[in-house]
Amino acid sequence: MKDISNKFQIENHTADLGIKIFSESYQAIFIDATQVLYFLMTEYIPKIDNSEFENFQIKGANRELTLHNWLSEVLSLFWSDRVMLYDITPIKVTNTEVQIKARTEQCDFEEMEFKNEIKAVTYHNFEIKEVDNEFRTNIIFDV
Amino acid sequence: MQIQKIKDNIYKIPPTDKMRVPGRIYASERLMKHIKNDNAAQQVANVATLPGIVKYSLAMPDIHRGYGFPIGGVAATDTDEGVISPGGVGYDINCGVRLARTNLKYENIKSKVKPLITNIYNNVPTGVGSSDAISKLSHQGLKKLLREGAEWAVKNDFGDKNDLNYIEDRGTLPRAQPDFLSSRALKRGLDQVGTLGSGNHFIEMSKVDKIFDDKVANVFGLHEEQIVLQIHTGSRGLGYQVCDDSIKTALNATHKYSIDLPDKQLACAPLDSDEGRNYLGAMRCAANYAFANRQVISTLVKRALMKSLSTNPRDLGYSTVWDIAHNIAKIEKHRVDGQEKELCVHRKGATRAFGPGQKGLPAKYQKVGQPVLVPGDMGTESYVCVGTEKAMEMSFGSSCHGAGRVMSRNQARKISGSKDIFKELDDRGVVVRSASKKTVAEEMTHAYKDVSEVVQTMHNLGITNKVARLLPMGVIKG
Repeated sequence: MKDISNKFQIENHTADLGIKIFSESYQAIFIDATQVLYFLMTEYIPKIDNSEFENFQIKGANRELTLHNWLSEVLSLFWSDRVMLYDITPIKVTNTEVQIKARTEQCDFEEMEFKNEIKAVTYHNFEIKEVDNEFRTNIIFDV
Repeated sequence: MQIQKIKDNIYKIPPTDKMRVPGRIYASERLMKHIKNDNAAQQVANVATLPGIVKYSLAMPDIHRGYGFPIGGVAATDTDEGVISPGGVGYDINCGVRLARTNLKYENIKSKVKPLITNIYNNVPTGVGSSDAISKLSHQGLKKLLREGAEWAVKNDFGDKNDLNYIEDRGTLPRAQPDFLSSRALKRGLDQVGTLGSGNHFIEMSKVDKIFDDKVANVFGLHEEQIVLQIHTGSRGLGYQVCDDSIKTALNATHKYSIDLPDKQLACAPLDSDEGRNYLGAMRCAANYAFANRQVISTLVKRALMKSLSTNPRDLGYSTVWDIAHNIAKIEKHRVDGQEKELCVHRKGATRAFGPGQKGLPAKYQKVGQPVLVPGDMGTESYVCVGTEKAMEMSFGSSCHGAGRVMSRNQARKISGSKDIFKELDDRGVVVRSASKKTVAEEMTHAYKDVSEVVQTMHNLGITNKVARLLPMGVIKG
């Protein structure tokens, strides 16, 4: 996994965890936001191997909701199934649908160092803005 | 946005744009400065746009910025014409506090705090993703727990039947519908019963430092120099998943019923709709999970104390004073413009504070009102207050739930910097055990408002009265 610490900044939010992610394209947000989400939750980095890719398809009413639904899926997979994704490769990305293939790793929570218990991706001020050919995404996570 | 001072400790946000009712904030002048700094008042105004909201969108003095609803917000909606908003309950459904008293005296315990706290810490799984406090449940077992709440715990040898008398709604919200939960929500609930979690969740051993009201304290079984325990946690991953699933449904419902909202996080559904009823059924499951969780943890704490002190239940005298929910939506009857109305009261970071004579209070508390538990931050005092008749008039029987944050976790960590927080607390006589040093830095005193001022504001307004002050001796953080 690439170093993603320079791809986002923490925004002050009294109760929760606000972040701004900087991406090169709308498509790249899906990879960046997933990696930032993992980075905020755990020190753990998946052990890269050549396991089979799995396909994911997520829909939303607009590009914000599509990204939101994708991140909620990533979060649910992590907490519910204890699965982390890596080699995340968008196949098709539109404003209302994303198809992504990724490898998966079954995690052992006993072996992991955690940083934040992110409960959810909130909808509050969830926004993707295009500024000077850069995509800036605001997200507030409930912690 | 305009904020007008009406009188001491009461501020009004006059209705503008799509607000259906005014906003009302209960705060001292000093607390109001914090509130104005963090956008929470705008969130009070946003909540006032919810269809069917009655009287005003309320904020308690511990209010701070949340997402959608402010934390410390109360909104009551008419069950005939109004909506229910999953965001108005929050992700940690029925996050709440339990207070248990003991026969232990400070004088006899003060030299044993470290081993006692360590033993409790070793018996209650804490931290991010904590699990396996008790045997993993089957799906059928979990569904039974979701219907029965704290009663399930008692039936499974976690605690005493008498505990149920001293839990809000006896620890079981009726009409819980486990079949409305997603498979993911159920999966997340299988192994987390009896776990504390992380963030601001805690177990605290305190001494009763001061009694303000002898008569009420006596009814609550509290006296000076007594050792008590507070447990603060909620419905864990199951609750988060229920909320997440429900907001998605509510977003569709908001569109379906043409509800215009200033913030997606306020997504809601009419109470009289399939979406509204389904959320209530699912939310009640998560609420019951939280009641069961605190009942199990409380029993684990009791067992740890008995083992450490080589004592028996009678001598330890461990019993529940009260267990409250501070993230919840309840169907309650209140008087509005002289008429009794059935309302859905959303309490998002707010505590029920029913006064004397209210239905649902245990016989022992009928004459005085219910206990209102207001924990402070890790290094400072907590309060036990009592609900009043004025609370029924002024706040739909609600009060504050804590000190309320004034700075983000990130800021708090920066300010804590290189300080040895564990040593600082140790020097102040507070033993701390935590799964994470980071959490301790985030939860330091400077991150919170002055809980004494928050409580005093509610006392001055007559919404709750102070009964007892508790000082921390040992804290377990998630």
